[in-house]
Amino acid sequence: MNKFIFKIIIFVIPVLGLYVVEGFLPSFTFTYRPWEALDFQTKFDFERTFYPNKKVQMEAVGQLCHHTPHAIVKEETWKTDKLGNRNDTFIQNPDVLIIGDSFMAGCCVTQDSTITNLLKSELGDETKIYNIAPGEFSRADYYLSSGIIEKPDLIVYSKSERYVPKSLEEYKDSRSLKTDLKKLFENNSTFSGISVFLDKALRHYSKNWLQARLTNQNGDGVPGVEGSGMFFFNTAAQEDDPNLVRNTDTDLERTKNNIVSYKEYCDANGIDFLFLPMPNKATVYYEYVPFKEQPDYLFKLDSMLRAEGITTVNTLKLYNDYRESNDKLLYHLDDTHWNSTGVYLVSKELAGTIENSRLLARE
Amino acid sequence: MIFTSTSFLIFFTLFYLLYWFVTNKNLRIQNLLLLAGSYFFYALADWRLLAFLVAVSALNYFLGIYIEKTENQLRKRLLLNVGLIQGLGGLIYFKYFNFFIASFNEVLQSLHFNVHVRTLQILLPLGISFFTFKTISYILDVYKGKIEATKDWLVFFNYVSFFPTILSGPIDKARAFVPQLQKKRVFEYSLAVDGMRQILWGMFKKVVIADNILVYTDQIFSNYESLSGSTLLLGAFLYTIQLYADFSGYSDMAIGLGRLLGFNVAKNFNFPFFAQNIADFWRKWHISLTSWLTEYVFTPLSIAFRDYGKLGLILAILINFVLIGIWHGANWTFAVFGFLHGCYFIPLILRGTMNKRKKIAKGKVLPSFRESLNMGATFLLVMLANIIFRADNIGHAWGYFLSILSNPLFSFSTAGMEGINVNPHLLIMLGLSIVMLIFGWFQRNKEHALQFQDMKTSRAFRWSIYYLLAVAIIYYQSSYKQFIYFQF
Repeated sequence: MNKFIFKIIIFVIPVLGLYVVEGFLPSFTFTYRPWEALDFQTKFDFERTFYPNKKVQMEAVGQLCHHTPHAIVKEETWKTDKLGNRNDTFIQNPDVLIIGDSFMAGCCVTQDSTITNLLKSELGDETKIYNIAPGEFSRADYYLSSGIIEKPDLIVYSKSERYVPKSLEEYKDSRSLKTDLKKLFENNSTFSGISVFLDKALRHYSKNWLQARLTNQNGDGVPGVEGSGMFFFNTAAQEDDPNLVRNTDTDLERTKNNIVSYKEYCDANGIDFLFLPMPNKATVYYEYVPFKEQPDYLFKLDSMLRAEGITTVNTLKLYNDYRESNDKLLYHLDDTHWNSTGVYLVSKELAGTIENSRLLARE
Repeated sequence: MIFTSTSFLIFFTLFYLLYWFVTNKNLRIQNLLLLAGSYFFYALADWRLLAFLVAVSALNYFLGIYIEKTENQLRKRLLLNVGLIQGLGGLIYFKYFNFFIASFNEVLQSLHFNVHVRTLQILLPLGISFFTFKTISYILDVYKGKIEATKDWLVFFNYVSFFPTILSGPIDKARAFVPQLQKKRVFEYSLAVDGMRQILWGMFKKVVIADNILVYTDQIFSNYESLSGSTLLLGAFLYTIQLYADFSGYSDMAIGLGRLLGFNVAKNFNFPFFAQNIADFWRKWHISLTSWLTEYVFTPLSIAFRDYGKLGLILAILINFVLIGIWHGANWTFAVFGFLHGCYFIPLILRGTMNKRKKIAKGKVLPSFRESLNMGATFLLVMLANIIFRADNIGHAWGYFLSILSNPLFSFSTAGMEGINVNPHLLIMLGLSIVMLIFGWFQRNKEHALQFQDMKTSRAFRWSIYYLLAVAIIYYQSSYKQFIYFQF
């Protein structure tokens, strides 16, 4: 028996060694941007999106044409808090809670240019802003119901034009063993460290990197019109996604209904609500796709939501107005996400809307 | 929790250490651990029907004892029938009830009756086809006096629910497996090492070949109307390889796991693609099922029909193979698949060569031209039948056959289906499939392709192969993991 076990160990050590080495390597070793470096890929996340309490600084490129001459290198810094959300620090009692997707999480922008930090500059340092993107509204309900975060004054919910928001699944089991265990793991630095190590060891990034390089994968972006230097998101790969917007009335109706349900949730809990739509790059720069005319999905949605009494920011109009008088880009050429200029404009407009609508009016 | 998952690796490592280091001194405690492990494994797959598995085990355990004890033949027969009704009734209810209702509704509708019988929401117990055949063979053997009924409930419950084989076989017969549970297991180094090799080979077949080929077969079978004849033939070829790699891969892992625990589990595959004719193929494919049906269905039927000569034999074969077909599931495609295979036997029966056995390329490296031709023809027949096996329904299978004949042979129309284009990944998979077959060819007289005992191979050669396979498994593992035969 001992001989057999010895033989197995001898065989397994080099194989396991690969995993162990990967567990110890910096999280960004086999990635081209911080998102994948910090993103949990296995089941060790305990409701967290990114590795908790991490700071990553790396030279990143966009997702649409990485490993090609079109990729543009940019220095990015990412910081996550103890819950694995992209914030400078964890805030338990925020005034503003931001929920959203990769735009709100700050994909492709450095830490100082995230919507959280730019909005804080606009509203003043005394305003406590906490960001839980990427995550749907259900995640916010989990945080609030289980007492991880106290009730904020305002929830800003953002969604990219590309997807219909998911319907709210209210979290009911706030006192279960599962929740207690989750909290235990979330709050304990040893458990967090182990879960991050295991995730790095088991997410097979070296293998994926090797496969990607051997098969020459370089992003699935679609080049825009010649001379524009722009790449656009290829929705063909996501055709099966039921939440992909196909510019139909049904999508508009579903989006509106879900956002109204979020508003009702906030009303019931005494929280103000604001919706912030994020236009697709292909909508803002439609002439470079090229489309004959600008898709009007967000304009229609804006009218529908305003009719329902929902405070919203007309981001597309904001970007259109800016483009009329400025040449500066609002989105990265090699990525589908906004750049720091795009974030800055939105944060300014968002702060203005919050102030004008007296959403954070303090006594 | 499937064999190729990390959770199974953790479970089995812990179980193995407890099995050999903590409970090995006491057979009863070791069997108790084995049962607990088996129930834990089953409950993780679907805990809701664990009680059914326990109840089936308990019923058949008592039936076995009372069948043996009873002197009265009528009562003996009655007890046997209770077991058969439970076994076959359970199978019919769980697997076929809704199928019968649906077929009945279709018949009514075709006769313009406006009646609709409602189907039921039935939870199918995983592995029911496998453990039911175990319990049926057990009570039949006890009834016929071939084996003694086991008085140890722990032994019997373990026989029914042995975790390496409960979900997809092989189907061990009680007379071969129960005695192994009754005697103290002694760790055998060579058995364990061979078990590990067989697991590695099984994982290679499943993770590398079956799971990666699946992407192509799914696309081809879903879009058969717009694909060329050659692509459709390639789809049928790939599916045949996939089915073999998937199921024989699972069987290899199950047998290997059994060996690690000190058991000799029934062999399930014997390099079927080197079969010389269809009878030879079925002696090498899903052996535990075919030997079960041969013993309990085909032999009694052929005895019953013996007065009708070759016609009786044909009838017995057809019934046997239709049963093999529908054992796989409630779909007419399986019945037709079985019937077609039964028909393949007819020329052999008429020529009286069904039972002729001849070792292929005996003492030679390569097969003769005639043997190669026979192998090729048998493979082709199996491949064509597998189109029906894979199809969603008869219409789908028929459409696939028609498309092979009517679509252009080489004009590809793969718009939106990039995967079907000849790409490096597909070529690598075809290459690895050939490697699998070549390995199999040179090891065709062994239990499995990685069995190196009694061979003059250097350690460096063997270990290089182990590591190459391990690297291939790590490199080519895909997200798809479910085994095809879990559904049966």
